[in-house]
Amino acid sequence: MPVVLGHIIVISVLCVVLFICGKNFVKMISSELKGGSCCGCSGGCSGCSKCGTAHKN
Amino acid sequence: MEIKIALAGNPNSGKTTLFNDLTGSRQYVGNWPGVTVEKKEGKLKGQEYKDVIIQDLPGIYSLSPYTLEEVVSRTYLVTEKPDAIINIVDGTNIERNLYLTTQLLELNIPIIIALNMMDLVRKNGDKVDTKALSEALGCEVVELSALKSEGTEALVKKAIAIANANKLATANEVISGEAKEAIKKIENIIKGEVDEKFLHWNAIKAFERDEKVMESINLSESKKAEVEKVISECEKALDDDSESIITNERYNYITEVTDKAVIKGRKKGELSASDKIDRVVTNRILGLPIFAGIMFFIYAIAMGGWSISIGTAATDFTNDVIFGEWVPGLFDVILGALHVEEGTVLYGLIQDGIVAGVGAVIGFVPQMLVLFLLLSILEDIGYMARVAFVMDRIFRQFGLSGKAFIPCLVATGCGVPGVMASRTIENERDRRMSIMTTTFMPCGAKLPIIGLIAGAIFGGSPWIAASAYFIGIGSIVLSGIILKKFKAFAGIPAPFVMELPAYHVPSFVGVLRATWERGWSFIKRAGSVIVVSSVIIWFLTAFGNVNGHFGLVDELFEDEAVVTDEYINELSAKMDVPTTEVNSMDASLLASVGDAASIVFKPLGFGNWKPTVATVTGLVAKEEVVGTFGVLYSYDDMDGAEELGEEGEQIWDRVRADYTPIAAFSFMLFNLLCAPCFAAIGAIKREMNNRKWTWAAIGYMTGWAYVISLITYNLGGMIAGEVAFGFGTIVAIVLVVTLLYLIFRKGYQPKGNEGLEMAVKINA
Repeated sequence: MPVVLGHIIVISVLCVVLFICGKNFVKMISSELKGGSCCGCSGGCSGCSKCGTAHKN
Repeated sequence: MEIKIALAGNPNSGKTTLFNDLTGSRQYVGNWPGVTVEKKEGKLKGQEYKDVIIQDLPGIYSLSPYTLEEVVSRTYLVTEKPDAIINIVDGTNIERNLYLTTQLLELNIPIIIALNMMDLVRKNGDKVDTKALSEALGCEVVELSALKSEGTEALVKKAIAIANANKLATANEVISGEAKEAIKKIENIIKGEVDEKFLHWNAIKAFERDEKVMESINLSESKKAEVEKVISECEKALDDDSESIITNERYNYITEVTDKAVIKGRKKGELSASDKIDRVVTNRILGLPIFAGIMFFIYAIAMGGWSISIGTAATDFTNDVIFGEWVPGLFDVILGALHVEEGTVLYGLIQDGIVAGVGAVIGFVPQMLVLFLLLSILEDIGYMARVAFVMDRIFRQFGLSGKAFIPCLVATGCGVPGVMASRTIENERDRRMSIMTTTFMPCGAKLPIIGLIAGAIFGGSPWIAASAYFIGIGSIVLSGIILKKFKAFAGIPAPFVMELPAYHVPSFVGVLRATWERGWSFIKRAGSVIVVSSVIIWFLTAFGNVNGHFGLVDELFEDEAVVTDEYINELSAKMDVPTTEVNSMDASLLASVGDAASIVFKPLGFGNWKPTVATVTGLVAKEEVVGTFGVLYSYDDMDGAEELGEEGEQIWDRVRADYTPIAAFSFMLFNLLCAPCFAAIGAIKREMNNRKWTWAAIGYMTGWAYVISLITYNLGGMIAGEVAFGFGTIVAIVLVVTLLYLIFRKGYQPKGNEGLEMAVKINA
């Protein structure tokens, strides 16, 4: 495989991963600072599966 | 046409379990008040029931106006007027549960009784004649075991049927005699001023002098006087106050009902198995040592260095093998195949940034899972409810209420619901104090910090892990004592009434599910916050200004023309490291910024740019402290010979080399006690609903952490022989004296009823 192609693949995958993680990161931080991300269940917040199904904040 | 059905019942009667079963939502079922503070709504499962809405109301003991949950529930019932009420009654505790039932019957809303936990009733040897109970109450009674989903289908069908038919209960009147006559008179007075449907209920509430109902009825002065005259005459005739009269009438009615329908298997005065266990675990002398012993044992299994410490063994394997060899090795192969060679920027970003950062945090997941599993078991069997009771006795000695300990227990999972659980505290001052101190408890995200220090520095000592838990409790107690002496928080602690549910064998599935959900939310968080933070930190450590040249610090450090002896001496002095230990990372952007800020932490023993940066990144997420260490120490090429990925334990060896035990302990304390992560700060902001108090809370926690760490490092270090006597020691002594003064001084003494006032904030 050409070196350039290998680099392009790695950079592309990295960009996609960072974009998804970055979007979640910004969404989570801004929601957390507004104080509205957790439904209060003891399962843990910021990504807890229960919050999405049980509550709308 | 839409049908609304409300679920009402005492706390711990199984409402949430039934709600989950009816609607398919998964909710956490705990044994303490405060788990369901808000109303929950869901659609009934099943295509044929798509227009049926189930409203899960907060667990309440009555429809009085004293607690937020009660006000929320009755406001909903009176204003929203559901088509039917499913009243869940705990069959093992019928007398107490029927008190709410008598009030629900007065609402003139179709009602059906769901007699829950019938499997436990039969197990206890008790019998309930549901037919006789139904006749006595005048409404349908359905046997139920919500946990096993038995009886749910029949309950749903009957509830919908009574809603459609608007079938009201036909009970004998709960209130009789003089009180009944008085209430009839009040009905005549207030007729026309209230909804006809709730005339009887409003009349009873007016008789009880319910302030909120009287405000909503808005009678003229003459009618108010007429009502008061009726009440006074009845009080005089029965020689009791109106509230007590009604309460007595209700319990007399309940006694009549239970005499007809309930046969107890146990003789009066005979102790149940739960009672016998409670005589030991809630014992005045043994209660606290038993609790301390259990928590120490749990932390030892999860995070200790003993042969039983399965959490530590699993974490060691994860750190040393999975993220020390396998994952870096796998990425090595993949990157090699894609021609991304070692030593390139891309390779460094992926291996030294993302893999090292995320791996450092994920490595502690096994310890976290073991700890959560053990705490879930304790919670499920019912022991954690006893802990709040035991702590109340101690808290009350210091002017605090045991109710303030419940948010702390919740906070051991995550600080956010812990802060929110403070809503159960009616007294506004105590509530604020609880919000300010709840996050002193080590949450799940702080466990990697404890694991790092206990494992890397103290050889896996269980004392370090357990000490983090007890220092958290100690901080809450001492803070409570100190803050209570100030006017803003002074007052008599609120009474603490709590139900102790019966002990039962933990549900295997429930415990595993609770453990997995906590662990999975942690892993998902690592997948977003930690990845991004690790990349940012890697970037800031990879680039920097080396002797006036900006670029990749590793490459610049190899250029002898750039890295002169004078520059090395200058950098060594700036970073306060020997010239032989200066490396490329000390010239990075992050090192410059961190170094400038690190002066703040010098009195605490970790005034170096790496722990400073780690502490700051901990504001984003506490587990990021360890993630940052993972990036910084994996990238820290000490002699130019060791490479990341050969053996993961090298990271922790490097951490150990940088800190004395007392400095490491001081670092751990600061990060455990200081301002929490953004999520918790957001929760504090929401619960305080006041900018000044939010900043006061953050400032207090950070200040407390700073003082405790400073005292620990300077005085503890002097005792251990690691720190010499100096200015820091004098400051530490002054702080200790100040703390002792604040703890033992008399403080502000509330006058008259000021200490007894209970502020109820209505959000409904």
